[in-house]
Parts: sequence; structure tokens; C-alpha cells
Amino acid sequence: MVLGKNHLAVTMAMLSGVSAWCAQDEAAGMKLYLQHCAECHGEKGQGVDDEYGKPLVGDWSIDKLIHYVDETMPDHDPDLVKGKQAEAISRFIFSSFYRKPELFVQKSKIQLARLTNRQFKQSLADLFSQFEGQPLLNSPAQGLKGQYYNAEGMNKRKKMLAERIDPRIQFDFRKEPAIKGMNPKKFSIYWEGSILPRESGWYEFFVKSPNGFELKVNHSAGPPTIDEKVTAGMLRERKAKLFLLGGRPYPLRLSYFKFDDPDASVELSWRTPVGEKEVIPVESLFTQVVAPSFISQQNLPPDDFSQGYERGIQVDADWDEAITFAALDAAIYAGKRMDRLAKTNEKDHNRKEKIIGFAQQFVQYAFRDQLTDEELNQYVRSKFSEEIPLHSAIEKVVLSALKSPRFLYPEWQSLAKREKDSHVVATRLALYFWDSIPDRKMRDLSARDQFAKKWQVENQAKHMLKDPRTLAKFNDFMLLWLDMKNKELPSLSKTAFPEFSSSLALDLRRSLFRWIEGSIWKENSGWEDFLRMEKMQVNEKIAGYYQVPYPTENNTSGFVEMNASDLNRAGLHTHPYVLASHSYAEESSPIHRGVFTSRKILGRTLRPPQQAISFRNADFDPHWTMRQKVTELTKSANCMSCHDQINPTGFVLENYDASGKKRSIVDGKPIDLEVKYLDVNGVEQKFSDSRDLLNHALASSKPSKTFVDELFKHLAKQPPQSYVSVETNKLSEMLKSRKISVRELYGQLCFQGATDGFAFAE
Amino acid sequence: MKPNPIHRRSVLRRLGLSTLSLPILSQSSSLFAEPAKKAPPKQRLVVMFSPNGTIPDQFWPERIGEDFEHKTILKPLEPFHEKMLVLRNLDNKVKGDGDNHMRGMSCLLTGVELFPGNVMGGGNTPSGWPKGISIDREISKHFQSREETRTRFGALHFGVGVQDTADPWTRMSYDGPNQPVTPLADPYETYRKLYGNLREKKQVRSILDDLRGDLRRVSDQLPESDRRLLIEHTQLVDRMDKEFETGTSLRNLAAAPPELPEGIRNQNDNLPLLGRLQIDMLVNSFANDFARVATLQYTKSVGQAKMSWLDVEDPHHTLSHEPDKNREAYEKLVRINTWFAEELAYLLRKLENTPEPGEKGSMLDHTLVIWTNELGKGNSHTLDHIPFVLAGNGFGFRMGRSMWCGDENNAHNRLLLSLAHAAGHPLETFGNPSLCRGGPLNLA
Repeated sequence: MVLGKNHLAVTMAMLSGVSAWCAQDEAAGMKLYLQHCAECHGEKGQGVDDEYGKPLVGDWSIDKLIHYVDETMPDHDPDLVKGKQAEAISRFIFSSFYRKPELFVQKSKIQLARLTNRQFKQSLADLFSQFEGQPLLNSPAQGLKGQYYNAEGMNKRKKMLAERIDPRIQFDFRKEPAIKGMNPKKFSIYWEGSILPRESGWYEFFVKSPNGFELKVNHSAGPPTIDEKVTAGMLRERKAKLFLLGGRPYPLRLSYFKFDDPDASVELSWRTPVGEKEVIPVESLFTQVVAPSFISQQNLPPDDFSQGYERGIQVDADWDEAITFAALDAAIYAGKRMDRLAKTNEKDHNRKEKIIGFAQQFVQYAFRDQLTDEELNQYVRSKFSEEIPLHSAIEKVVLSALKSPRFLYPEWQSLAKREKDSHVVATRLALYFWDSIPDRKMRDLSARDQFAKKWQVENQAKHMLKDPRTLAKFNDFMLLWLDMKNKELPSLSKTAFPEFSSSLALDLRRSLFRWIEGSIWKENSGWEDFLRMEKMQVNEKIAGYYQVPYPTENNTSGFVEMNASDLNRAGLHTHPYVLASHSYAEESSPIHRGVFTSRKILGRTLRPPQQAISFRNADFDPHWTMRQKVTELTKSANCMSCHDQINPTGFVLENYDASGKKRSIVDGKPIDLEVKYLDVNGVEQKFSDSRDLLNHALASSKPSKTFVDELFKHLAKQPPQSYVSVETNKLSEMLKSRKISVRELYGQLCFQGATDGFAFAE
Repeated sequence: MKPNPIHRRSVLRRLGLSTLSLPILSQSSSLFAEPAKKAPPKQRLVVMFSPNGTIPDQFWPERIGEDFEHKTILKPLEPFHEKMLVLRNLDNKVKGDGDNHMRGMSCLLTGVELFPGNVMGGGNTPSGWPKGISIDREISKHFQSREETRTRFGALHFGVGVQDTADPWTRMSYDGPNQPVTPLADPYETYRKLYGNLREKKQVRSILDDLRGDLRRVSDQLPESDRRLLIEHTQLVDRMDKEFETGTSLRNLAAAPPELPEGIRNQNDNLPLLGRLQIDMLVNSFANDFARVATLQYTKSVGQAKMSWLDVEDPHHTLSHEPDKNREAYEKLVRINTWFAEELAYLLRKLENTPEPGEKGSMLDHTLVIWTNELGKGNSHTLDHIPFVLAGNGFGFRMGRSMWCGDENNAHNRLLLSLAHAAGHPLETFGNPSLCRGGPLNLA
């Protein structure tokens, strides 16, 4: 509804003694509605463009609706509709359409969309990996493998003295020799392994040493990422920036040379997309060396996010140019590496055929289809001729393929073809599970017609659920769901929270994701486990700050699992990272916390505020509590239409300070945690702490339904209403009643979406 | 500090979107401005490097003076006799850390010692980068510091067959202590740096017709209601076609960019062609006044090019170690060095055939080209009698002669100092001050 200008104080009490509602009243209500409301809201509540465009539906209780209409409507003169009239209108709205969103569901269907940025970069990386090998970590061993050599003269690897695993690269060899028996003057160390960044974005790598070094990250050819082999014995730090896709491992090699220089030390650090510079932690390092990936370094303009998920419903010149240059990069890369990609060499008699063969494969992977001879001729063979050097032809093939609508609009076939064939199903599975293209195995299955029966597709889906790219996409969803995506680390005031460092914030972020990956995803946990968060990953720094004893026995990662209750946690919404990232620099923010808790934990719908009012601490009596201040700030009827939900769900977390530390008094005053909360059915709930709120959330259907809808949109980039056989209601009930885990839900949503409209073979 | 090595992908990325619309020459005032009234005549410097020493008895003229003779290696330069100055008896006297190849290369233009370091060569002590700036960068900085001599890039560094290793054998230009400058080793990279992504635009345009057909075919298979995005996409293709056609940013060039053939790979067998492409762009960048200083580096000290186009299959450095009595090796090395002279002659011809924009004479009249080497002789690894062949009239030296240099102090620092003086930058010393005794050579 539209924001009102005047607010008269009318108490709820006045409206409570409502008379019996009958057909006569309904007719009166309708008449009043048509008279006062239809102009902006439409005759049937469908909305009116340029007035109030959206259908008049929501989850408020009738009492709240009456109150709101009475106070604020109609927008241009809230005095026109008062008391009994407001009640009549509200009851008409409530019974006719307000709780019937299905009336307004437009006949929606899957829309043609281009690849989102993540889909584009992921598909491109996997496209090349079909030929160079998918980077997969099979060994869980963490750290980097270091080979320690004595050097002599020009021979840097005169004698290998030891091979060992180093959890992090931060050494000062002046204090103690790298290896016992090593020549302290002349030696070299070669570390290798892989790096597994969690989030996608720009990573900056730093090497600091007075000696010679060379760093290669995701390196396939050309100059090293950092080349500082030559040294004059001065301590220096070099850096290099790379865009990396999260959840994907990349090979990493660091070579270190010590030669007579007086000093000897080396340190390998990074700055992640959110973060502060830090020595690369052991949890991101693996001893196994994986294949490098082609990762486009092109900046792409952001995707449409107006509906709360990224979707490719818009094309414009900026996007077109960015995609073109990304495609050119890929084309040049393919041209340079064609022999490797086509598994041939310059001496091979069949070189040209093999390279053409590679090009044909490449295009079919990119188009997610089996092409006809005529099509292969058009997209591949016609680009080759005697006058054109082979690599120039490859460049042209790759550039054309990656700019083609057949690559850029992955679901075009499902919209074009009447009958959905197994290529369509494979395309969608790869897109929904991974944001990527079908891999070799899926292509083979489709080609052999083994992708047609239900059990066959189900098997494939099960297999895909285990792929690390699935976890990577789930993590991407979690970042979004937890309000962490593209947000900076919580930065609290150094005076108010001197101990809350950015490295502590990074560790808390890690704590949250270690738990999500380890407990929720890998152990197949359910919705309740997720919201309850009974365990928490804690390292020494976290234990120190939140004042719990840290066990003397721990592991290389430095993280141990502890009972969350020992850290005074009561649910996911009380994880210190969540609390701290929904705080002001000096104080807790019940509003930010309340919005998060209402939307995510309780699954409620909140409209964005129509008028932004910022909170300024200085505006209030310094003796007031935060609760008093927020109550005062949001007391108007218009604000209260949402803040009656937000405030209580934030106030109930007031026993945690801005850094998420438990507290029982503020400024010498005890904290009032008691709140009243109107639930979806208009029933008043009393919470006296965050645990009460959590129990209510778990007893209600709304939170899991909201979660399922959001997850589906993230996976398919289309709303669930556009599909016939996606059963979000049923799945959210199953999720709530512990019949499926969060991870199984992921698999089910992808499967149902991908096979929508597909006739399985018998 | 040390600039990151630039390679094609990162360059592309950096150029990315912005260059599409950004006129790449907008920083260059000198391009469009009328030459300032009292501007001194243009002066340019090119240093061409070829590695592994020469064959002295087929290189050095016996006669000192104007009637010096052109032996086999210098034969290709005979047409430029009047514009040449062959400097004999100059030694690279920089001592200290590093083997002769390293000091030969990294002290050649710096005239200063290398830092002690960790790069171990074939003898002597290990070393790092040199302790100071090189003369090409010093002169360029001087030019860049003045309005009337400032250009878009100041200095450009071209490489031919220079590989991705960054060490004292592979770098000769330095921006200061510990600051090696990486040459542009790939002509396509050079092209992009000089002229923007013109070439890529052409490449993209070559597929746009096919793309339109592709969009039409896909669109035709979709129901009307799903075509909106593809119609918009097709309009974007038309837009790109038009925008990429004009190459607006290059309209004001004094000299059109040279045609760059597609598909030349940066590999050994293509060195002759790669070198010519780089020379063409070097001369063009001078014609457009993008820079007043350039280096042209063939491979590197200890370079192992296999010059199959000369019927030489042995790697160059290995060959240069052969004793003089190995006549076959001797003869091959003469062939190799003669080929370098031919490439120099190509450069000189190109400069001579290009009229100096806005001034009298040819560009060679305003340019000094120096051909040099890190060693006097390959198999002895001597740093004495370093080859210095100068050509062109840009620095006001008296040309058309061979000259015996500095009996009292024949350190090559004195030549470096003369270059600075001739460029209007009268330094007291350059590099190691003690090697500058006697001051600049008198080359007038």
C-alpha cells in the first residue's frame, strides 16, 4: 500500500470488538473499496500501473490490515476512510484476494535469458577443462608440498635434502635453518600444490622475501604470475591480481632461491575479495597439483538483481562488448594452446584433422548439442582454409562459438523444440546444478540414448550433487542468503571494540562457512540443524574473543568444533559473524538484525522502506537504550507496517553487542528482551530470547517455503511458478518435517526444474 | 618498482572496454600541436642489440678515418658509409659481481655495477640487477621532462625472440636501481600498445555477418514471444559493427599503422619476420612521434636462436663458444652477424626513406642508431672491444668514419656520457663515476 502523509492515533482496542461479518457487509465493503481504493489498486486488487503496480496480497493478519487502512489509506487523504469503513474495506480485501496470491499468478513460463556472469565464466572454464582436465581434488591433504634442496653454483637443485608438507608459507630462515643439515647460504625450496578459494572475485597474491622467488598461480604458459628470481638481498614484496572462480582449485607453485644474501625469509599471502591481507591459511591449500583452468579476467557488468537473484534478462552494449573481449581472450588462449587442447604436436601428420576435431568438439560443448554435418561445416570447417594459419582458424571458431546465441542463451532449445529431448535435460541439469555446461559423461550418455529414463537422469543428478561445483554454487547461494555477498567485512569501531580485528572477522566468516560446508552440506543435515546451529567452528582467536577455553589439542587448520551453546549461541542468527555484520560500528542494530531475522529465519516478506530514514545516535537522549531509540524512530503508522515485525525480531537479539558478544547489561541497565511478535496468522507470540524466536520459526511453514523458493530461483534463474512440475510446497513441507536434507533439496529442485515438461522413456 | 611483465591476455583485459571509446591518443599533445616555434630539431635514439659477441676480424675495419673499409659483416652497411661512425677500442670496464654475459648485458647501457645477488652465471660471483638507470631511459626521462620534447611514451622497447625470463642476461634497459624494463616481445602486443585494439576490432568484425545469420536462425525457431532479447541482441551486433569500423581514435595519426599480417607466432623460425614487423612499428612510432627513444633487442645475452633461415641449425650461444679454428662455426657466426647487419640496414633504410615530419631531411637525419653487443668476442667472453656501430645524424656527431677511442680512458661509460651531452643533458658522470674519467668522448 502507499505511504500515507498523516497519521491519527487510533488504538487497536477500538477495532477489536468487531461485529459478525456477513454477505451484506461484504457488499458494502466492496462498494467502499471500488469508491476509495480501486483507482490505485485495481478493481480486483490486481494493481494499476503508475499507481500501485503490484497485486494487493500479503501475509498480514486481518487486524493489522484494518489498522493500516484506517491509519494510512487512502494515500492522498487518510481521513476519508476511518473506523467501520476501514474495517469493511479491509475485510472485503482480506476475504476476496489478499490471501489468494494464486489469483494473480500470471501465466508465467520460462523466459529466454542469457548466461549470467557466473554462468558465463563457469561455462567457459569448464569448456576448456573438457580438454585439459577438470581440476579435481582427490586428496584431502592440506598445505603445500615443499622440496628442499642444497644449491651449488648454477645448479639450484644440487641435492634434495627433504620433502615435507608445510601448512603455510611464512618462514624466517635466519632464526633456524630450513632443514637440519642444510647449507644455510645456498639453498632453494620448491613448493607446489593447489589453492582452493571459497568465493569468486579478484584475489591479490603477495610474496615477500629478501631472496629470489617466483610464483605461479593457475599458470599454463607465458610469464609467471610473479617473477622475482633476481634479487639484491633487499626485502621486497611483489603482488599480482587474478580473478578466480570460487570453489574451484588452481595449481600453485612457489619457488624460492637463497644465494649468499645475508637474510633469508619468505611469506606467501593473499587478499581475498572481501578481505584483509593475510598469510594464505592452510584450509585453502592442498598438496595435490590440479590442472590449470581458463578463467576469464574480463570484468562483466553486473547482472539484473531486481528480483533478489541474478538473471540474464537484459542485453546492452556494455555487456556485449565485455562478452566480446572475454571471447577474444578465450580465442587467443585456444589459438596458443591448440596443440595441447587437440592432443597433437607440430610433427603429427594428422595435426590438422585433430585440430579440426577439437574445434568441432569445442563448438558442440559450447552449444550443448549434437550438431548436424551442415552445422559443423558452418561453425567449424568453413573457418579452416589453406591460406589461414591453423591457430587463426581456431581463434575464429572459438570467437564465433562464444559470441553465438547458441552458447549465450542456454535454454533456447527448450523454448524452441516442442518435445524436450535429453540434450535439453542435460543442459538444464548442468546449468542448475553448476551454472555450467554438460560434461563429457553427460554428452556421452545423451549420445548413447542413456539419458531418457527417469532412473538414468536421477542417477546423473545424484552424481552431480557430489561434484565440487555443486557445493561451490551452494556456497554462492549461502553468501547471498546470509547477506554476505559482495559485502565488506564487518568493521567495528576500533575505540569501542579494540579487540575485534579484521583478521578475527575473517576467521568468523571462515567459521561460518566451515560449518556450512562440513556440517550442513557434507553431513547431509536438515533444515532444523541449519537454523539451530548447535555446533560452531572455533579457532584460538575466536575462543579468545568470545571467552571460551580453547582445547589444547587441535588440528592443522586451527579450527575445532564446539557446542555453540558454550559460546552462548542460540541459532544461526546468533553466529557472531551474522550479528557483527548486522551492526553499527559502535552499537548493535536491532533494525538490521530484525530485517535479517524476519526475512531469513522467519521467512517473512518485507517491502523495502518507501522513505529511507537513517539512524543517528546523536539525535536521541543518550540515556535511552537502543530499544527505546529504535521504537521512537519507527513509531509512525507507516513505519510500523513493517517495523512491527522488524523491531521485535531485532530487540530479542539485544543481549548480543555489536561484535556478537553476549551481554546482560548495557550502560549499567539490564536489557529488556521480552517482545511481542505478530505471526503470519496474526497471532501474537511472546519471545523472551532468541531461542523462542527460533522455536517459533521451526514450528512455522513459512521459513522453509521462503528458503525453498529463494534457492530455486538461485539455481534456475527463473521463478518456480514458471515450471509445471516443480513442487516447492511439497518440498518445503518435506524440508520442515525433516524428510529431506538441505542438500537433497538442492538435488530435487535441480532435478525437477531440469526435467520439467520432459517425457521420460519407459 | 619493477613493472609487471605484460602479456597479451592482461593487456586485452586492461584495454577491455575503456579503449573502445577512449581516444588512445588523447594524452598526446605533440601529435596535434603545431611544432613550437623555437623547438630544437628532433633527436631520436635507437639502441639495437645482438648477442654473443662478434667475429672481430670480419667486423672491425682496419683503417681508422673516413676511408674505413667494410669487411664481410659490415658490408650490408656500406650504403650508409657517410652516415656511420664505427667506434673502436671501447671496453666495458664495469667489474664486480656477475659473469661476463651478465655484466656485458646489464652494464652495457647502465655503466654501473650489479648488486650482489642470487643469479649464478658461468663464473664469477652471483649477482642481481644493476645499481642504476640505463642511458636510453636517462635520455628519455630528460626528453619527457621538457614540454618541447615530451611524447606519448617517451621510450619504447622492442624485443625480437626475447623470452619470458626476467634476469640480467635478458634485460638491458633499466629505470633505476633494481628496475628492469621488459621489452615488448610480441608484435601483436606492440601493435596494441601503439594503436589500441584496432586489430581485435577487425577480428571481431570478421565474424559479425555470420553472427547475424546465427541470431536469425535461432530466433526463427523461437515463438514470437521469446524473441525480444534476440532482436535487441541483433541491434547490438549492428551497433558494434559500426563502432568497430571507424577506429575513431586513430584518425589523426601522421602515419598510418603498418599492416600487420595475421597469425604470426612468436617463435624461433619467425624471427626474421618478427624483427621486420617490430622495425616497421618502431619507425612508424617515430613518424607519429610516440617516442624519441627506442631499443631493439634480438634475443638476449646467451641467446640460443637457431637461425635456420641462414642454414644454421646450431643454437647461437653454443656456436659462439667454438674456438676460432673451427672454421665451420666461424663461418656460421660471420653469417649470423652479417644477418644482423642486414637487419640494421633495413632499419636505416626505412628511416632514410621516411621524410622527417615538419622538418627538413629524412628521419635518419634526426636519429642516432647504435648497434651493439654484450661481448667483444664470443669464445673469449671478453668485455674489451665492445662493438659500437653508430649510424644517423641525430646527435650531431661527425659521421662517415671509424675512430679509435680514448687511449687515456677507453671505458664505454664515456660513450654513454657523450650520448647524454649530445641530447642536451650534460651529466658530469654516468654509471660508475670513476669510469667516466676524461668526460664525454669528443665525437664531433
